[in-house]
Parts: sequence; C-alpha cells; structure tokens
Amino acid sequence: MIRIRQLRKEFAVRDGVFVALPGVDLDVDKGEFFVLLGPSGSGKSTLLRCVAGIETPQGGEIHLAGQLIYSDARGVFVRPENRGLGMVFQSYAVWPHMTVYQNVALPLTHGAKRVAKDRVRERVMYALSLVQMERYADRPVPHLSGGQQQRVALARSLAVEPVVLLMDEPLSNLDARLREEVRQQIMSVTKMVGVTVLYVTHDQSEALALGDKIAVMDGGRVMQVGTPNHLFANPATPMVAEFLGQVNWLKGEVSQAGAIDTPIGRIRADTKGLSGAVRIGVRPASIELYAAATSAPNEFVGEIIDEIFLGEQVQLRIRLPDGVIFETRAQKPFRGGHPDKTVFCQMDTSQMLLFAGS
Amino acid sequence: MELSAQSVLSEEHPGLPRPSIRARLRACVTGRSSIYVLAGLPLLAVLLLLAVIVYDSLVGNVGSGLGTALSLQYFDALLHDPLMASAMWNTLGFTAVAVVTALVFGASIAWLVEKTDLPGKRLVYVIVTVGVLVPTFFTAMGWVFFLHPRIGMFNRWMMDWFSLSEAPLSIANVFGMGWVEGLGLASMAFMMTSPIFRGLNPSLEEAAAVHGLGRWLTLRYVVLPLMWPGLLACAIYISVIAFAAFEVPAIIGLGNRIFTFATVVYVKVTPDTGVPNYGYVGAISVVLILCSGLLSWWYFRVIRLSHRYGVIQGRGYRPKLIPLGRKVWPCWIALALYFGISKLMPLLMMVWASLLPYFQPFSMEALSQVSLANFSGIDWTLVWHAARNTLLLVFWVPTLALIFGLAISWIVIRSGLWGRFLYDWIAFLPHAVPSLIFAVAAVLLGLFIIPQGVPFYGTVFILLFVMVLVRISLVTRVLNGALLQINRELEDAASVSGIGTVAMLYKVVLPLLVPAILNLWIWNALLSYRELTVAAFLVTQQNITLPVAIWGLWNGGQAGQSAAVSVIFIVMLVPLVAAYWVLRTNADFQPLPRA
Repeated sequence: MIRIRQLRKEFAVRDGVFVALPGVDLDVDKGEFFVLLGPSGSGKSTLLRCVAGIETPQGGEIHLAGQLIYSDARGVFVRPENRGLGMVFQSYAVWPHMTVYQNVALPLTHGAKRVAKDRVRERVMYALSLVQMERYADRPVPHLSGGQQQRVALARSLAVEPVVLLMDEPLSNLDARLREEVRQQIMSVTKMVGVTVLYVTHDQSEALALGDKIAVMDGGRVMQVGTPNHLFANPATPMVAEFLGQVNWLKGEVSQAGAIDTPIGRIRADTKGLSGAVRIGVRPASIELYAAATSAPNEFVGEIIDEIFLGEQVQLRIRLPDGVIFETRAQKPFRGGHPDKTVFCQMDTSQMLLFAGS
Repeated sequence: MELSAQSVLSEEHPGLPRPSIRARLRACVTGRSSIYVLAGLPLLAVLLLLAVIVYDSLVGNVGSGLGTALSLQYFDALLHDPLMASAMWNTLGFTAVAVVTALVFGASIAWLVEKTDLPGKRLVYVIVTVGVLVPTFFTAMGWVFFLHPRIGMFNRWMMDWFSLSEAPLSIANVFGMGWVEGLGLASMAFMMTSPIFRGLNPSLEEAAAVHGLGRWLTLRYVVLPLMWPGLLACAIYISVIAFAAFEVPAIIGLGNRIFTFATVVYVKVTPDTGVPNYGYVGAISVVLILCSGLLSWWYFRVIRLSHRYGVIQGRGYRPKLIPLGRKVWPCWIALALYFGISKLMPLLMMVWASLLPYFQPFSMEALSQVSLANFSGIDWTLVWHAARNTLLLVFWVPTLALIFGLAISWIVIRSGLWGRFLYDWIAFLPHAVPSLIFAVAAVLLGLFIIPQGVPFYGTVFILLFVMVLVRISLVTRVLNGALLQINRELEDAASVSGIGTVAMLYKVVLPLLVPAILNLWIWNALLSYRELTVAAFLVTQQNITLPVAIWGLWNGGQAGQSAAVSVIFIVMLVPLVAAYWVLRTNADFQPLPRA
C-alpha cells in the first residue's frame, strides 16, 4: 500500500544541514496497522509527514496505492490534497471556529474527494457514529474535551474514506485514562473500517497493543521491522530491545559453548554460536524471585536495595554480586519491611537476549 | 510541476482521484500559484517605484528614455543648494524636538497606566490610541490659531493683558513644529513603551531592593539598563516617522518659509512657476531613502539587542503596582492637560475659526460676528466630489491592502517557499521608505512611463495604488504575528484531507484571523480617511480628497472655510472612530503599534 525507497529528508539548520532521514526503505501492506516507534528525534514523524506531503523530501521515492506520489529522480510531487489521505494530529487540529459537524463535512464539501451534496450529511453522521460522537454534531469543538476532540479528528479523517490513515502521536496529549479509552476506539474503528494505518508513537506499550507490524526507528534509520511478538522476543539490536521494554544489562564473555562468564557468575544458556564478548539482556518478566535457595540452574543470590509500592505491582531493585543492580517487579510486596533482605533470583534463559560485542 | 506529475500518473495508476480538465483548471485558480501572484504584484510595484526614483535621480527625467547618460549632477546640485542646507538643519531640529516631546508625554502616560494603580486605565488607554487617528494637519491648524505670532489667540491675550509689544510665543519655528508633531506622536510612543513597562518583571526590582539597592540605584542600575533598548528602539521608530513627516511642516512651515526635506520635495514637485526639476527631486528622494533606511537598520539592530534581555518578557507574575494615594489628583490633572492641549484645544480653535469671518480671539465683539457664513460659502460640489473620492479610498485601500497582505504573510510564515524572506523584506520597504517618496515616484510613473490615455495619473486609481502600497508594511507586520498564533497543524489537516490552498485559506485561516482582520481594516480605513501626505502629491482637480480640499483652502488663505470643511471632516470621522472604539473595548486589547 505504501512503498518507500531511499527516502531522504534534510532540514537546514543554523550551522549547516540536519539529516532527518538519510535514506529510508519501508513497505506497508494493505489493511495493515503499521506503527513507527522511536524516541523523539528519530525521524518517525518526519517520515509520516513526507507520506502526507506536508514535508517535501530531498531524495528517494514514495508509492501510495501503486501510484508514484513522490520521486526525486522523476520530479514528481503530488500535493497533499491530491493524495487521498486522512490524518490525525497530536494537537487534534480540529478547526476551532467550526462545529463538530462542520469539521467533518468540510473535506467532503471543499476537498479533492467531494461527495454529492445530498450524501454529505449521511457520510458525516456515519463517521461520527463510528466514534460515538453523533449527539455532539452541533457543538462548537472548543467546548469538547481533549478526548472528544481527538475522536472528531478521527471521524474527520475517516469520513473521506482515505487510502491510508496517518496518525501522528494521536494519544500523547491525552491523560492516562483517556488514552486507554481512545486507544481502544482507534483499534476497533480501524479494524472495522479495514483501513490501512500508518501510526507514529514514542510509547512502546501503545505500539505493542495497536500494531500489526512495528518499525523501530532511531537516528532517521529503520532499525527493525516485525510483528510485536517477534520484535519483543528477537530484537535486532540492544537499542530495539530497550525501546520495547525494560531490560537489565550484563556484560559477559562466552567461555565455552553454553556457558557465559559474567560479573555475577557463570550463566548457562544457549550461546547461539557466539563467542568472545557478549551483552546479555534480562527482562524483568524472566526473573523469578525466591526467599530461599532452590538449587536450580542460573540462580543468583542478591540483596534487595529498595522496594517501591506502585499499587498493583511492587518495583524492586536488587544488588547482585560485583555491584550489579537489576530492576524487576513482583505482584505483591516481597519482603514488606522484613529485615531479611536476601533474595534468590532465577533467570529464565530461554527468554534471555544475547548480543555480540560489549 | 505538480500538475504534470498528476496527469502523467493518473494514466497508469488508478486509485487516486483522477484530475479532469475542469479539475485542472480549478487547480490553477485554487492552487498556490494564484497566491504567489497575488503577493508578488504589490511587491513588484514597490520595487518598480523605487527603481523609477533612483533612475530618475541619475538621468534627470525618467521620461527621457533609456539611452540617457547617467550623471551625478543632481546630487551635486543638492550639495550646493543653500535651501537644502537650511532644510537639513530644520529637519534634524524638528525630528529631535518631536521625538523628545513624544517620548516625554507617551512614556509618562504609559508609566502611569502600566506601573501605578491609576483608576480608569482602560479609558486612558482607549483615548490615547484613538488619539492617533486625529489628523495631524488638523491639530497643526488648531495650533496655528492658538500660537501664531500675529493672529494666535494665546499671543493676543498675552499682549492685551500684559501690554506686550511682541508675541511671547510662536508656533512658526522649528521648535513649534516639532512640538506639534511630538504631541501627535505621543500616542504612538505610548503604545510602544507600555509593553516595556508591562514586561518589566518586578522580581528583578525586588531582587535589587532585597540586596540593598535603594530606589534610585535600582532605577539607575537595573530598571533603566533593562528598558534602554526598548526605549531607544521606540525613539528611533518615531524619528523615522518625524524625519519624513509632511503634514505639520506643510501646514505651519510652508507659509512661513521654514522648509524640511519633506516640504522641499513638495515645492520642487509643484513649483509656483516653470517646470519641476525632476532630477533634483529624484536626488533628494534618494537621500531621504538612504537616511530612513539607515534609521530602520539601526532600529532592527536595537530590537535584536532588546530581545536578548528575554528576562523582561518573563511570564507568570502579577505586575506590582505603585499606589498613587493622594497623588492620583495631580496625575489626572496632568493627563487632562495633555488631552486638552493635544486634542481638545485644536478642536475648539477649529470650531471657533469656522464660525468667524476672519480669525480673532474670543471676545463679546467676536461673538457677535459668529455665523455659519463659512459653511454656506463652501463650494459644495467640490466638497461632495472630494468626499466621494475619499470614501472610495476608505473602502478600497484597507480591503485591497488586506487581500495582498494576507497573501504575502501567508507566504512568509507558512509556504516554505524559497525566497519567502525576500517577500517579507520587500513588504517592509514601504515602512522604511517615506510614503511621500512613493507618491513622487508614482507621479513620475504616471506622467512619463504609463502611456497617455491609460486612466492613471489624475484619477483616483493613482491614489489607490500608492495608498495600498504604503499600507502593506503595517498589514503584513500584524498578520505575520496573527498567523504565527495559529497552529500549523490546522492547515496541514486541511491539506491532507484534500482541501486545496485557496479553499484552506478561505475556510480555515481566514475565519481564525477575523479579529485581526477586522481590527486592521478599520484602522487602515481611518488612516486612509485622513491621509494628506500621499494625496497632496498626487491630487489634481479630478481626484481631490477631503484632506487635500481642506489644505487647498488653507494654502489659498481661506482659513475660515478651511476650518469649516475640517469640522465637517471631523464629524464624518465620528462613526468610524466609534466603530473602532466599540471593537477595541469589546475585543481583547491588541494595539496596532505601527501607523
């Protein structure tokens, strides 16, 4: 549905040029919910805005629905209004001088994909019904809450029946509870309509929950593309691993196949054919805590430094041998103020992340 | 390019909307190119007029064709002309007095409004801003009736009461002219200095006080250094205006043969006898452009410096107000005195003058001569004709200036077009270059370049043309600011959902700019109504306007009739000012600092 090849985007800055996208390749299939995930400044929004046509790249090609919409070499640039897209913005970008109805109707009456006058009302009300906003149709948008405004923006972008729906951090202006609610709505509505979505976020839980596929970006490059499960279990780089969830890192040395020497002791695990210096990543979920030794393999003794009550979970910091500190979580208070701070940590090495180098 | 891309593509790739011929035509009109053209036309006109002046100063007459040899003889003539030497000193003195007067009054009122607990601030604010709209030529005429050495009412009283043989004061000198100009510009000084007082974070003063600096030392070492760039910028800005001011030197100076640069240009363009020396006029104009350009450049340097003191722009504090206590009465009296001498006295003088056959001080004998003879003696066909032309300009000048200004500002702020800064820079030129220069250039253009038979010179179009151009600077400055306030994503959202540029501007940007546009429209309408400078250079019998009609009567020695037309003129101003007043008191306070 979207095919991007060698896309290059630079910005002129005070002392020279900042390369936001050095040459990106990306493929999004029809009907896919595709998430661009990355820290701020990773180029994900720039990439999205290039697809939208509100930024002009300096090199490469973009195809949309089999049609060339940008090519540097062939001098093609289709203006945003002629690309047939829908877009939801971080700032909602609902037009503040209009009602809910007028916001959704304007692209249908004045846009490139106009519909017959007598069908406008039907289309607008259908789009509003998708996000349960029909009863607010005549409200001026500044009178709505943030969540409602974003739902209007979603309805507006769906009403034009876009080729692709673009979403630029649509949840990050909302508070935590609303975020959950609107996220659910985005998921159900886009699945129902069956539209292809390109979605930008810096929040990994959002990406994992929504995405059929995720592309992790850093420094203007796509580091890895895959399904949420695949990326979580098999990150290509430590950066990808860290970006998808908390990781405790250990330096190690493969001493023989199946054994890695680390500052906390020897770990027995599948070394996947690696040798020499390695980096080991252990996610909190693959650490089991015991009050007493169980003599299972890969068990290390540690000392609880602090235990922070978070409500549904408890966050623990544990000092392992050689001053290594691991963070992990438990379902209920583990020691709960008990003076004995010794703990036995068992690592599930099947979920351990292993990278070559230090 | 966009179009060709589309047409190539739609053949091979279905899916996206396929442009029909109608759609392509529509894209031409509704696309960006029409905006670029709309913005480009007035800017090209600005450059053209400046080029005409510069070329004229080198060849002597732009009408003499492209083959004419360039020479500096006209600049040389300037250097050896004693009239120019005296005009230079007069202009410098006039400017200096005007700037000091404007700053003393304007900054004091600003200080009272912003830093003290003076009651009725809103009223003061509105009266001062509306004060900008009282035409300077009108107050100048009022001052002549008050302080003229021979007929001035004040002088006659003094001479009668104290048996003086000579008038104690005179308005007919450089100091008097600067004083009148400065009183008018005080409103602008007020609007420019009040943000400086408002922005001064009181915690900076408090910090000085806590650390042991007394009131005087705090003022000397903290407050003044922080405010200095802002005050200096204000002074430079006002001197740009005073330097090229025409109305006061024309009303007071011309009759008494006290010339400034502006009035020298005028007498050279419209000599009593013979043919105008256009080469000489061009040369003075170039000198004026250079001086004003230099001042504007200095202004920008100082402004940049003042931005460095970002601390004074701090937010999140309540300004601490100085309690006036019993001193509130002297403050009110001082304010009333300012309004009295700067606005009320000239108005009373004009009304009085309009009722008398010849001007004389107030007395029972004079009262017995009061009649409406001046009003009935007015050439009503001429006044009616002038009023029609004026109203035409009052409607079309702000309307066109806004349409062009909107296109320019949108390009400068939003388009990302290469060279958009050039648009901004050229749009600023009509502020940096005195408006009378544009008027002179338009005269040259109309007389020598545009073919005879084209209705331009001597029509209302030449007035419209120049007045729209000189208003572009103010309009684009304000619209630039207003556009920056609009979140860009509102426009992106329109583009992505298929709405073309023109429809987007019309349906999204324009409605959001309505407050700024309304404000600008009324303001520019008022300024066009009272415009004398540009009109004085361009007017012939056919395209006369009200201010020029008044001025013509004044110059012809018919002070009584001139005053009578002025009074009618001011009465007609009332509805416009009332509209502005309502808008200003209802909408959020957004003063327009540049007139």
